[in-house]
Parts: sequence; structure tokens; C-alpha cells
Amino acid sequence: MITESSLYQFENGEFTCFDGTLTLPTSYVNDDYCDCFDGSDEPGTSACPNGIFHCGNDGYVSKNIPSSRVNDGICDCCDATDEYATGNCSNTCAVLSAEAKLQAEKLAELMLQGNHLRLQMITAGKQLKMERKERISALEIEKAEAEQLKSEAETVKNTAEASENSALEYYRAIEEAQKAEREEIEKQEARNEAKEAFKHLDSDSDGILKKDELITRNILDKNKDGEVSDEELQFFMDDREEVSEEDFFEVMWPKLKPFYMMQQEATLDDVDNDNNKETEGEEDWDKSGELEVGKEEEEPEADEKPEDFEPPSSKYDEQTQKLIDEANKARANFEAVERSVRDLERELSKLKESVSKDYGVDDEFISLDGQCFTYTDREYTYKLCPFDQVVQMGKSGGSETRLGVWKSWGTPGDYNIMLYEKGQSCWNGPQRSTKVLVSCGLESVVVGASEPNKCEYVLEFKTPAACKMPQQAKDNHDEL
Amino acid sequence: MEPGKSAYELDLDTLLVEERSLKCQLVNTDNGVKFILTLVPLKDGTVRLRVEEESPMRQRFTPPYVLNGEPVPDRLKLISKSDKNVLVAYGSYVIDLEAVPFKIDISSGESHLITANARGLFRFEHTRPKPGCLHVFFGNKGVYIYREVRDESEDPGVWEENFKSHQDNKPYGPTAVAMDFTFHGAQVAYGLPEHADSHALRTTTKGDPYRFYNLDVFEYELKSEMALYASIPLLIAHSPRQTSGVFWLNPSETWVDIVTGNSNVVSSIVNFVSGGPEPQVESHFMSESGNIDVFFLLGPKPQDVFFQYSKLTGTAPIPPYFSLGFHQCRWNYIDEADVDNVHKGFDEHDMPMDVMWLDIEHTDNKKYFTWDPFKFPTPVEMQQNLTAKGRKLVAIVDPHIKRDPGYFLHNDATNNGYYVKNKDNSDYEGWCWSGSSSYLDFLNPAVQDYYSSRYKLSNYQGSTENLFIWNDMNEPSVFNGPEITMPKDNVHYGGWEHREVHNIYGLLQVVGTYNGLVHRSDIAEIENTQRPFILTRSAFSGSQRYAAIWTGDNAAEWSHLAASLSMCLSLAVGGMSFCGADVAGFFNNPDRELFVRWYQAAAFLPFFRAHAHIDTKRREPWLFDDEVTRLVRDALRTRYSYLPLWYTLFYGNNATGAPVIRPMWVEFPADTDGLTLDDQLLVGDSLLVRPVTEAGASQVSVYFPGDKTIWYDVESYQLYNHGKTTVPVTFSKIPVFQRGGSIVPKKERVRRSSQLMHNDPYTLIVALDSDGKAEGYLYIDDGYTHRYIYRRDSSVYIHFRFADGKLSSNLVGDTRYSTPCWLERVVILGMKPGPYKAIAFSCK
Repeated sequence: MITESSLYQFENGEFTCFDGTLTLPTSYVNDDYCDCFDGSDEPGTSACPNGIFHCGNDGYVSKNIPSSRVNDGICDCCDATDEYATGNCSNTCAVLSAEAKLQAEKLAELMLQGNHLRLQMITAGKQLKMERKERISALEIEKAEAEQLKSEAETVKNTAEASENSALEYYRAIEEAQKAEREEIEKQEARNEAKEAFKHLDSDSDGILKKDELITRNILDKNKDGEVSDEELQFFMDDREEVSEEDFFEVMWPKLKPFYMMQQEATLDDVDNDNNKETEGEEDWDKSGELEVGKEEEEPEADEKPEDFEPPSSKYDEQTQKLIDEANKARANFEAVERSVRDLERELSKLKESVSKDYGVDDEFISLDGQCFTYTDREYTYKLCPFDQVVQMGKSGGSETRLGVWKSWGTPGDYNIMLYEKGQSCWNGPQRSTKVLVSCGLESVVVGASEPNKCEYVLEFKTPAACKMPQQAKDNHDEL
Repeated sequence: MEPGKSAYELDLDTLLVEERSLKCQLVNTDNGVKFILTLVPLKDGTVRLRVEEESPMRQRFTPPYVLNGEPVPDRLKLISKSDKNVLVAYGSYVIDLEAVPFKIDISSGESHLITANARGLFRFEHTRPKPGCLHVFFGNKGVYIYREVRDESEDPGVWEENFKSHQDNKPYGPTAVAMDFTFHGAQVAYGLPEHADSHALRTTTKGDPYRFYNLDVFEYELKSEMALYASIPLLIAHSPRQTSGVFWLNPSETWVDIVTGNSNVVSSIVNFVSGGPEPQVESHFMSESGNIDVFFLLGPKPQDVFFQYSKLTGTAPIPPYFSLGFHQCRWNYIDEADVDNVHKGFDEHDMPMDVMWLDIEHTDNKKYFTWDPFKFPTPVEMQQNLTAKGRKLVAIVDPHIKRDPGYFLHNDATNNGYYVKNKDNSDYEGWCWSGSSSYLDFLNPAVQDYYSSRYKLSNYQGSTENLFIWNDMNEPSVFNGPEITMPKDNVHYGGWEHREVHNIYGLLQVVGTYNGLVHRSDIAEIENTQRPFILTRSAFSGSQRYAAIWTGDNAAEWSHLAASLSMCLSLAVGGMSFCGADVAGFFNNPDRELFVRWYQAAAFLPFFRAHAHIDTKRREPWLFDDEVTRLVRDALRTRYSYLPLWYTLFYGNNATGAPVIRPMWVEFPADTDGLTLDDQLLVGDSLLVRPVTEAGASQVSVYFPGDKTIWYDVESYQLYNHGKTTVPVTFSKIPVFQRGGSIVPKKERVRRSSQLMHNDPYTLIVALDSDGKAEGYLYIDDGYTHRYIYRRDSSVYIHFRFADGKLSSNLVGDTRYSTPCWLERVVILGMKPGPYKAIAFSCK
């Protein structure tokens, strides 16, 4: 059948293809054989691969379908015109039209109510935005005052600390002297220990360690394979042929000491007869001996730190103690003031960021900021906090997984998709992200969640804020 | 062992020549162990050689379902017998059995074709008692008891072996068999699928031999002889004048060493032409257990070898028509709404599609034959939504069974002893998708019956006649097993060890599935039942009778696109034409160019399915951009327009074993420049396809085979002559050429699915050769039932011929089929310019 009849002009019993390439007898039109390259000679059959069939669909919406859907047994046009040869279909346009009308009315009603709510949200939003701006001004003043307080407290603190410092200088000198003495003793002890070890290893007591003296020493059997290999010798002797006592102290002993210590421990452990543990311990030494040694050396330093900051009160005379107390008080006061400045700054920046966010043409989405909406499916609970983040929790508890933090609207000016990005990274994959599809509803609620791509989530969110003007919607559907 | 030497000798005193067989004793002179050699000539140019132990301590495994019935023996005639050899005649062939050293030589006229044991590599490890064990024998003089002493020269691994943390007990000791075969005059070797390697086999002496041990290989390597999912131990050796094959029927772990006379084919041809040493292909087959059961396929033409092999192992049934259309799969379509949206997406973007697929996540916790009650609550309705558009659904059914006390299948299998057993006879338990799992022992006939009955529509809840089956993971894959499979010392029905059965496990599963699908409805007459469609990952010789195959878990890389051609070509010459690769690569994300090129290439491979790993981005063909959408639509439409050709070729494959896709040598055996090509292929004998498998290509090199053959570009109709040519390509171009002299049937009204095109008219593309002649065939039937097998009124095979300016057709055979289809268009390529008049006439 010919539907776009105005296009089909026949002159002298001839038809010219729309692309102008061929002129055919009119009997060639709709003869179920494709002649025109553009498919224009077969508007009513399936003959042309690139042809278009037009359904009039009287009483409903007309449409164009590919010619390949003509007479394939499937009802594509509600007026059944596409299946004239198969006879498979009947006209359902009236039914569809009635359904569509009903749908349109429902939608219009939804839009109407939704828009009402949206207007309320706009009013509330404007109010909220104004409040926030006012709050910003108030905070700016508060902040200026707090900064003033802070600089005063700092001056007080600096003065008190200066007095405290000079009073403590005397004590520090004593302490340092004590520390130096202690270190000298430790050094001497270590030296003695090394000397003893050297003496022990130096079987012929000639003051030089040679390979044949060392090869029999189990202590050098690093990998515990029962013999001291060349590699092990080279390691301990630092690639030297022989080692003097001085070299021993400088080079060999630091490497050897852990094994001596271990041997001593092992001797102790033998009493427990806990062989497994012993073996494990040895393996650890092999792999990370140096690291462990480093650690041990650090520990004493860490112990000293508290002494520097909190000297026990008994240590000082009354006058000094008083200065210390005053300085502590000044420090505490300064810290408190400083904290309040930071708090103010934080609140301010949050507010400023908030008033700069895009909450819609009329700030209709602003009241959603700060709220959260949850949705639970079979496995997970999803929590959408608009303009902030999206998280997922196992239904039966467990920790939260961040599926993304607020990035922007999908298309600026189109307020129907929210993007949340930079969520937690997937194992062996990208960072999680979430797309929130926003549509009109009478309350703000998440109605669906899915993960169509690995680690890419989609939430469906309904809110009155997304309800468009009912007039527009109504206009469109009146055509039906 | 020196070449030509052998410890084995024929005892010609024991020779027994009968009308259709020859028997003789074969002796291992090292230890006196005796074997029985049987030689049986078969109808259609095949010779079968079997060697068995004369008195084995334990019988050896004979695999069921590989052969399509017992081969039919042919006549044999004794020519002469001496104390050195015996000569027998079979048709025009002469078979010479040499006693010392043991050797079998088959010749035709003056030329030697195949020599077995020319290199003296025949081995047969006889069954023996385990050293250190007490043995009790009851002889005719009383009871003997003795203790076996270990032979110090024996490899300690022959009685037990460790692989990583797995210990393989070998209670029956060493049982390996091996033999060498030399193909005289052969220049190139093919076959031995499945390997991710070139189509022409490589000389393997520098690395490992080609290995057959069906495995679930994670991210397999290309250009490798490593074992993959399937094993088809068919080797074909080729020269311009002779094509022959060897089929080594043994389903245990098998290695094959190949030596081609010259590693370089061109130089071997030069030698051949210049009268240098005659080229040859040497092969050496080694199997861990089983008998020696070898078939010599004597050709002499490529199609003869395919026919001979198909006589042994059968051919694929004609696939249901829809299965030649496009398949859309993903691991996984999430739920019914997802399936609905994707198949509607094909309509919205005007792309034809026939089958939606569901991977493992559609089940209720990986319990096969069930549906996830939340994501797929109404599977029947979902299938109806698809069938309303003429589409089908495929669901996965893997062989691992979840050990879940609430799962009927597990309970049935446990209660009836249907699982494969550990060596201690308890149910074997392994780890797979379903967690702790056991594996059905399909070797057991009772399990076959039980498994088939699971597919009954009344048993498989939520299934309909429009649901078809995907058998994956059937090597079998066991995540915590040695080499990701089952321990070799597991025990099957009949006491057979898994090592003996391994390579047919996948075959055994699809046998059960196939029989289940045929008999799933209440339709009483077999002819009215629907043809099954099954996709399998694992296969052995014979699997072609039951299932299509794909090349497993490939990757979205250009090299894998190229490999899909060589791998499917090798499977095709190995009897499994219905082959494809995951479009556009299973692992990783293809870029838009690779994505388009893969669709364009896969449109010309027999099995056309898109599939992707669960971690990949969604890639339904409209998700890239408008250009990609348009080009994929074009590729899909091209595929659908050629469906009549594909279907006709599958008919031919069913009838004669002729591969549906063919490497150059099959159609142009004497064109030596084309012998090793595997970046281009032939669809039947009419289309030459050279897919673009390189990024950024603006041209491809095409070799047009056939001395006097001319070829037409199927889009531009441009003419190409014999030889190597560079053909320019655009992003939209698929280099496809029709052979001058061929007639190709098409349907050019491409609809949403192939079923909707069933009654549409045909177009014939008549491409004239230089003499102005052409011919071709068209096969038509109902596309989905078994009537074509049982009735004379249910299929038609038409021969078209064009000569002297006249196109004529006649029906081949005596079958008839009534169809509303008509011939709407004839395109003739290669007419000389001039005014023409066309007259249609019909003759009675």
C-alpha cells in the first residue's frame, strides 16, 4: 500500500526513484521487486533492504518501520497494515489509544502533584540557600574574631615557652651528659662482646681470622644446610681473604651478631623443646635479618621520647616546675583556640562548596543535600546521599563499600542523571562508579539498583524535584 | 634405537589371512611378550591396524561413541608370503608387512604412500605385575607364588607420579603405546586439532610435541603445541598429487611429534620440482594407555580423506537453521529484564539476531537445570518473548554437580552411584563454579539415560522446545585438580581409570545432552522431533555428530582474531566444521576497530557468537558509536544474506564430510603457493574470505588460488586473477570474493531473525568463469525437524547451472519439498558488455 501518497507522483505512467537515479513504469511500484537503489519503489513490500514502510495507525501515533518488518508475521503496526499478506494481525489502534490516553492522564496527574511538591522544594531550597549564605557571613565574622584570639594566645604561649626553655636548659645539659656516659658504656660492652667472639673464632690466636678457621663454625651456616659454603664465607668476610680484629669489629661483627644472638635464644628455646618454632624463627632471620636488627635499634630511641616532653615533676625544683606548668597551660589554651578556628574554616568551606553546587535551575534539589535514601535488594542495601556519595552494604551487615562520590550532573542543564565517581577500587578492576537516574515521583525514594557493568552501578531515584511543568506534559499528550 | 631398527618382529608363521582381515603375532624380542596384530581394509579407501596384547593381565579401554558404528570391512587378497614379508592387495593398494624389522608399507602403483614403524618407534608397554608385590598364579601345574623384583632400569615414575601436590597412583603400571608413520612425498601436514597454532603443522623436534589432553586452559598462548579443550587425533599429510591421513583412535593423553621433510615448504617444493630428495612428513604418536588402533585414510584427494574420516566417525547432522544466525551471549545477562532489553536493542538498531544466551549465573546457585528464582522467575515467559520474534534461548549446563543435599541431581547421583569415583571408590569431589562438586560418570549407560531424561520438558522446569544447550567446562574442568582437571587415577564405570577415558569425557556429555534434547518432548515420531543445538568446549573425534564447538576463552586481541581462522580451519578438516570463536574476544575489552573487524571476520565463520567475560564492559554492538553500530549491522546483514549458502554447505557436510569452511589446499590441492595460508579461507568452494586481522589496515594481501581461476569482489564485482594481490580496504570493507564458475544462493531480505526469513525469496549470484560457465547448489528443508532424514517429501537439493547464456536448474536425488519461496533475482557476473534480453521459461 502507498501511504505517503503525496510523494508518489506519476507522470506519463512513469515513476522516478526519489534519488533520481532511475525512472520506471508505474507497474514496477510495489511489485515486490526492488528496483530503486534507495528503495523508494517498494514502500508497501519487503523487497528493498533499505526501504521504509509507513503505518498510518489511524487514531494512534503513525510510524515508519523498516521494510524488512512487512509481512514477517509480527504485528508492528497497530492498524495491522504491515501484515496484509500474512493476515496475522488485527487493528489494535483504538485500544492502544485508550491505553495511551489513560497513561497520559496518569502522568499528567503525577506531574501536577509532583510539580506542586517541586514548587515547595524550590521555596524551601531558596530559604535554605539564603540561610546558608547568611550563615556564611556570620561565620566569616566569627572566624575573624577567633583568629584574633588565636594570635593573642600564641603570643602568651611563646612567652611562657621561652621562660620554660631557659629554665630547662640546665637539666638538659645534665641529661645529655648522662646519655653520653650510657652510650659509651654500651659501646664498650659491645666491643667486649665482639672481642670475645673474635677470640673464640680465632682458633690459632694469631689475631687474624682466616677461611679455614671459619669454615668449621656452624654459626656461619646461614641457610642451615649443615655446611659453611663459600658464599656464606664471602658474605660474612665481606669478600676478604682474612679479617683483622679491627675489620672484624667494623665489618664482620654487625653481620654475625644476629646469628650469635639467635644461637643464644635457640639454646634457651631448646629447653622448651619447641623445634617448629625454632625453625620458623631461623627462616625469618634468613629473609629479613637486617630489617629486624634495624628495628631493635630504633626501639630504645622511641622509649626516650616521652621523657623529653613530659619530665616527671620530681625531677625539677619548684621554680622550674611552675614555669613548666604555665607553659603547658598556655600551650593548651593556644591549641583550643586554634582548633576552633579550624572548625570554623571547615564549616565555612563546606557551606561555600554547598552554595556553589548545581542544585537545579531553581535550586529544587538543594534540600536533598544532607539527606540519605536507602534501597535494599536481595543481597545489598544501597545508600544514596545526593550531592555527597553512594555506598553499598551487605544486607546482613558488614562494612560499607563506597560506590562513588558526587561528581556532577550527567549533562549540565539536564537534571535527570547524577554521576558519582571515584568509589572504592574493584579487585583487579576500575574504581567503582554510580549513575543515578532521576525521575519524577511524589516522594524522594530510591526504587531500583543494578550493576549492569562490573563495578558500574545504576540507581533509580524518584523525587518531586524532577517533576516537570505539567502544562508541557499535557500539551504533548493532547495530540493523542 | 637406530632408525629402522625395532625390537618388535612379526612371527609370520602365525599369519592368518582371511577374506576381510589379516592377523599375525607380533613379538617384542627384548622380553618375549606377544601381541596380536590385526589388519582390516575398510570400504572407501581406509585400512585399520590394531595391535593388542595376546594375554594381557588387564583389558584395555575401547572408547565408545567415537566411531559411528562398526566400520565395514572390505576384501583383502594375499599376493605373496615369504619368511621376510607378506604382501596383500586391497583394491588398487598393496600392503607390505615386513617381519624384521617390523614395518608396514602401503603403496599405490609405483608410489609408497604411508609406512608405519619406518623409524622403529613402535612401543607397546605390556601389562605387568607391580614390583615388590606378591603374586599368586594358578597354573596347570599348581599354584605359583613369587615376589616381583624391581627392574632397576625402569623409570620410577611408571608406578606413581607427583604433579605439584597431586599424586597419581598408577595401579596398572606403564601401559603406553606408540608408533611412527611416514607419509612419502608429502610436503605439508595438517589437522591434529585443537591447538592454538598455524593451520599447517610445524616440525616439533625443537620443542614439545603437539599434546592432546583436554584442559581448561586459562588465557591460552598462541603459536603453541600446548593441549587445549579438544582432541582430534587426525593427521593429514598433503602433496599436490596425494592427500592421506592417519586417525589414531586413543582417548588417553597423547603426544604427536611432527617432522615435515623441510621446515620450509617452499624449499621442499623446489626440491621436489628439481628432482631433489623426495619430501616426506614424519609423525610419531604416543599415548599413555589404550590399544593401538590406527586408521590409514588413503585419499587420494582432500575430499576423499574427509569422506573416509566421516565414514569412521560420522558427520554432523544438519544444524537447525537458526543456529547459523547470530548468537548474543555474555557472562552474564543479569536477569529477565536484561535479556528483554538486549533483544529489543537488536530490533531498535535494526540488527538481525537469532539466539540469546545465558551463562552460569542464570541458575540457582550453579545448580544446572534450575533457574535463579529472583533473577529468572519466569523463564518460560522470557522464552516466549524471544520466540515471538522468531528467536531462541540457549542455557548453560555444565558437568560439575553441586554437592548440595537440597539438589535433586546430587541426591540422585549420590544414591545411585552416578559419580566418577576416587581410586578408593568413594565419590570424587572437586572444586568448580558450584563450589564443592562431583562429576557425573557419563561412561555409565545408566548415567547416560538418567542424564538424557533430565532434559525432558517435564523434568527441566522452565525449559521449552525453544531452549537449547551449552555444555561448557567438560574437559572436565576441576579448579583444584591436577592441571585443572580430574586425577588420572580416578575410576569410571567398568573400573576404567580416568587416564584411559579422559579425552572423551566431553564427548560423553554431549551424547547424553543430544539424546536428551531429541527425546525431550512427547512427540512420538522421531521425524517430527526438533533438531538439538548444543555447543561444547571439549570434544573428541565423533563429537561432530552431536555438537558445535568454539575455541574457548580467547582474548580481545588482534592475534586472537587471526587465530580464530587457523583454529577453526583445523577443526573443520578434523570433522568439526561448526566452529567459531568468541566475538570480540572473551577476556578484556576490544577497542572499536577490533570490535568491528571481529564481527566482519566472524560473519564468515560457521558459528557466529558474541561472548564476553563478566569483568568486561558491556559491549552490545550499539554501545560504541554510530559508525560501529552501522558497520556491525552491515556485517550481521551480510551474514544473514548468505544463510542459504551456509545451510547448503552444512547439508553437504552432513552428506559427505566436506568441510564447510576450507583452507586453500582443499579446493586447490596443486596450488603450492596456497598450501600454508591460514589468514584467508574458503566458504565451501565459492567464497574466498580474507578478513582484516590487523589494526589500522588500509590494504590486505590476498592470494587468489587456482591457476585459471578468476574471482569477483562480492561488493564491487571487480575481477581478480590468480596470484598474490594487494587489495585496498576501508573500515567498512570485508574482503570477500566469489569464484568465477560458482553460483551462490542468497536471501537479501534480512529480517529480525532467520526464522522470519524462511519463506522469503532467493537471489542467485552467478559468477561466470572464463568460459562463461558456472554452477552451484541450493538445499532447502523445514530448518528444524528430523523429517529431512526420514522422508522423501521434506527436503530438496537443487543444482543450478549456467552455460551458453542459459541458467537452468534440476533437482538432485529423489526428494521433494514444497516451499512458498521463489527466485526473485539473478545477478550474473562476468557477462561481456552488450545488449541482452532475459527470457524466463520452464520445462517439464
